[in-house]
Amino acid sequence: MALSLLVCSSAVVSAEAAFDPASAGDVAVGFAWWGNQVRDEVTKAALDHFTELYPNVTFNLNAQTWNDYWAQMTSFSSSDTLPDLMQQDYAYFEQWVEAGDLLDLTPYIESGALDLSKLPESIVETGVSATDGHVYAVCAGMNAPAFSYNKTLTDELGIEVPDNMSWDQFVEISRKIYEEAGVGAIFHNFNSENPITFYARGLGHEALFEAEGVTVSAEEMEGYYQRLMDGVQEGWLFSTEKCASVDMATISQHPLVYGADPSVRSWCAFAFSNQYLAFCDAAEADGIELGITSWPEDNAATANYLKPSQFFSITTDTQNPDLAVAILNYMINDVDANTLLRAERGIPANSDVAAAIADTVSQTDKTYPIIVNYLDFVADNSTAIFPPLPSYAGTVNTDVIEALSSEALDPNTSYTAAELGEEFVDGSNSVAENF
Amino acid sequence: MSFRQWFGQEHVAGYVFSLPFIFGFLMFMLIPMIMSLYFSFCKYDIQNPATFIGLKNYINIFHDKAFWKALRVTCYYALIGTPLKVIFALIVALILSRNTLVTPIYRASYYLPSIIGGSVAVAILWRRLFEPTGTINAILGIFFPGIKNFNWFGESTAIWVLIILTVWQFGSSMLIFLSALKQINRELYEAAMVDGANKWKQFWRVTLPLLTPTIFFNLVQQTINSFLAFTQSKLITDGQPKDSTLFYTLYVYRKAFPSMGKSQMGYASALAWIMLVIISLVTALLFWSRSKWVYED
Amino acid sequence: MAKKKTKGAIIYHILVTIGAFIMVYPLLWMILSSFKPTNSILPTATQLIPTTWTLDNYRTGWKGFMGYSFATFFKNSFFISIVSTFGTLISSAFVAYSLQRLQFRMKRILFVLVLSTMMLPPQILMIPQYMWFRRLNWVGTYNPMIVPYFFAIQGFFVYLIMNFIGGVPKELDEAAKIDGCSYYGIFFRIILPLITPALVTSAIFSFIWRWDDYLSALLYVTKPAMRPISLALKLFNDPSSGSDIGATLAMSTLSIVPATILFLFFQKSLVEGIASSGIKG
Repeated sequence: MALSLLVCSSAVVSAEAAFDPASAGDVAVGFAWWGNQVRDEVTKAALDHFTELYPNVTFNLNAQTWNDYWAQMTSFSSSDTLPDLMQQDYAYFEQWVEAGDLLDLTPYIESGALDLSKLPESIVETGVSATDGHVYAVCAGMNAPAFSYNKTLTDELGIEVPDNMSWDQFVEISRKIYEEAGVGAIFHNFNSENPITFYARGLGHEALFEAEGVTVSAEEMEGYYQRLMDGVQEGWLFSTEKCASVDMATISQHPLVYGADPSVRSWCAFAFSNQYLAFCDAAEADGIELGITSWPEDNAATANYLKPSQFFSITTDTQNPDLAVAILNYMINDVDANTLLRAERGIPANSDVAAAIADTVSQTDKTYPIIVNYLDFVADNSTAIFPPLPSYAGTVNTDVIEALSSEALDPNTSYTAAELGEEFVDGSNSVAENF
Repeated sequence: MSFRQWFGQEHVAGYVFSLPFIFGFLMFMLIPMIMSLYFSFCKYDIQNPATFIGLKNYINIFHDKAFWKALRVTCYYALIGTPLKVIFALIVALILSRNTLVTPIYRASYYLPSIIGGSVAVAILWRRLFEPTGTINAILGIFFPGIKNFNWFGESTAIWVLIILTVWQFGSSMLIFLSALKQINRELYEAAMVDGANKWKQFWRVTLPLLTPTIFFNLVQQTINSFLAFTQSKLITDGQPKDSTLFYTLYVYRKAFPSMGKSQMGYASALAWIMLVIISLVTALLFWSRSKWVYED
Repeated sequence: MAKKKTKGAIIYHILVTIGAFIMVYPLLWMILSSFKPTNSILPTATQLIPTTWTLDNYRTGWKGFMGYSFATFFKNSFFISIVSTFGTLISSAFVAYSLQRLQFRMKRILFVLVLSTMMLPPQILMIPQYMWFRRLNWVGTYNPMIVPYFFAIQGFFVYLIMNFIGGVPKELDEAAKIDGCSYYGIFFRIILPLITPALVTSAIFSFIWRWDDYLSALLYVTKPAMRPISLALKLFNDPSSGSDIGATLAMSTLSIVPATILFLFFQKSLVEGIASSGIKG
């Protein structure tokens, strides 16, 4: 499933014949997403273009930041006032399917109204719900875990950062950088399941979460927490308190790209490929150059995965499902639409479209070829992504993972790694059980 | 009795004047409040219908470590932050009640910081001020060279970053004090002066007693506000590190609208009602103390 | 004697000026940083004065979102804040008068309810209120952000004004009653003019709070054209995908201008108030 840029764009066919949006009458279609000013601009441009093609269709656009978006959408869901189309997230769309908020797209794929033939099979499957095996969401852009690092610094110290590096290699590099430059390494956000999922996949589990509980054993998790505790003891890994003194949730203020003193800087960030552009912008202001590679893990090539950065879904509150499907099809398969969207949501999953827009997008976004390259590398060095998270997973993040990571990264903690491992498994399973 | 007479009676006038609130409360507050009280006895994720589970939320809360932590943090913040803020506001209001040519400018500079409230700009700024290489450490470093790169966002001091923020935004209390000071009748001072009271005595005999209702008001209002404080913690520390700045309302919000995963609106509603009871008790305590120190004519 | 007084005055002004500078420093930082190139704001955070001045942040910020500039958002915020403040002032003054001055049976319970409206976290009423306003068909209109304020639902203002009415000597009411004034007349002719400072204070607070309120805007504003500033400002910053600090600071600076003007304009009436009306206490 290589994302080759060489495929010619002439293969793009229009499947809009199935339903003519011009026949929908004068309608206003709701479209909602989370994002930023750039995403707002490009999405509006793409939808304006649709209105140019079909003047009878106008849009009610609604964009918020991540947190506000979900608060707003859940509220709308309480009164069946969701917009026709909404952006969805891979990890959490299953709970929206369960709540009956998303429209089953399978009939439209079968009728040809929604053409997913140019998307890699594995990416189409990410939109399949475990409940009934039907498609409820379509990938809006490709994404993968991406380790970004301060290349200026590693070059200076004569350090080579290898692809698919093991955890030990990562530790060694981090130690050396810490000793010679005083720059540390910052791990993930506290409430994220991503690092543990990645670790579990490195151990050979497909996923971290199953319907009934977590796949990892207490002993395996002991290994995970021991790594963190060792890193903090040796000094190179950011401790809980040090993490609190920096703002790692905001890219422009992440210690990789911001901070006046080596002691508050990190040489790397465990990020995703669709954040690379923002990191590079911040790095430029900081006067450093970044590199990109896979997250360090033993068996990194097994652990790594391609994922949809975001999804588009149609909600069951829509009054015009046929029209909504036509719009979705346009967003996924239309070259003009994706030229206007500028791959801001990640590299288009339709490989023909990705190739067709490469030249135009590369002109404004110089990281585009780098990311395409990296995703090509991941395609060859990864296994299929874990299934969408069960609905209790978010609560494990906030109630279990956050507290335990804070303990593991606290040099004065009263816990041992074994206790944390046990607590993780017990805590997560009891959340799953009581959900 | 004519309509006019009936309408003119004191208790009728009382109801007429409070009618807006009676109607507004029934219409816009009571119904949502009852609904949220009901949710607090339910398992409710907003997207799916609520299911009644009795007292289970309340029982679970009792065993919830984060709840106790959030409660402790919030009480600490409220009990230290509120008095500091009110005292500060009072002192500055007294200083600024003196009328000079530039007083309007002074008042504006002391009040305006409160306008930017809980905005994103304040969040960015406050982190910049208190970060290890920030302005505060730079200034302190001049006097205490040992302080280099002190971490204000550590477990024991992070809450103080937020307390300093709330004290800094004393403007609204100050404004209330200022307008209360203006309400004090000049003649009372003149009478006191005739009695030979100096400025200091005037303050203790006239100003302070007459201000006690306003002090009480600010105390009540700011106490409630601190217990419900939310934005500062959400934007600046997000409860970190190790929940040492996890305000109660932030915890409620996280349960109701988690940044990922399912809402636990039922649990959150139960948390909110527990907070309502706590605030009511504290407020009742304040009102009970009222007769002991508040001057009333 | 005169010399001592000047000396005291000088010390007073020096101290107050230093205090004022500390207080407004963050504000100055915000304003001055908004004139720095957006990329240099964080790296040069400890430096107050920009090395290079630019208006770029104002240009990109003012452009707004999805074809609606900040002119639209300002207009919306003005409308919401002014109308709801007006409603808050009248209704709260009414209710405050009855609870402070008049005797009737439900008075105590009403006062407790007034206080209780201050005590529930607003975040928790969001969903039930949304469901209710949806029933009323008010979603997508400004009604939920305006109409309730005409019914004194913010206990704070009722309680604040009560406090000031309490400061008006009761003898004035009595005198007016003897002159044949009704309770309604007392309110409009005696109380209302005397609590101007309280009303001005309330107006300032209410205006700013309505101006900053984004939780209700988040739920009830469904069209980009209807967004108020509070909601628009949030959109510059999405932690997960990048943020424009320069535009945030520039538009934040603009967004506090109305409140600042309001404060400067009205502070004169704060100063005058009852003191100049010369009634006996």
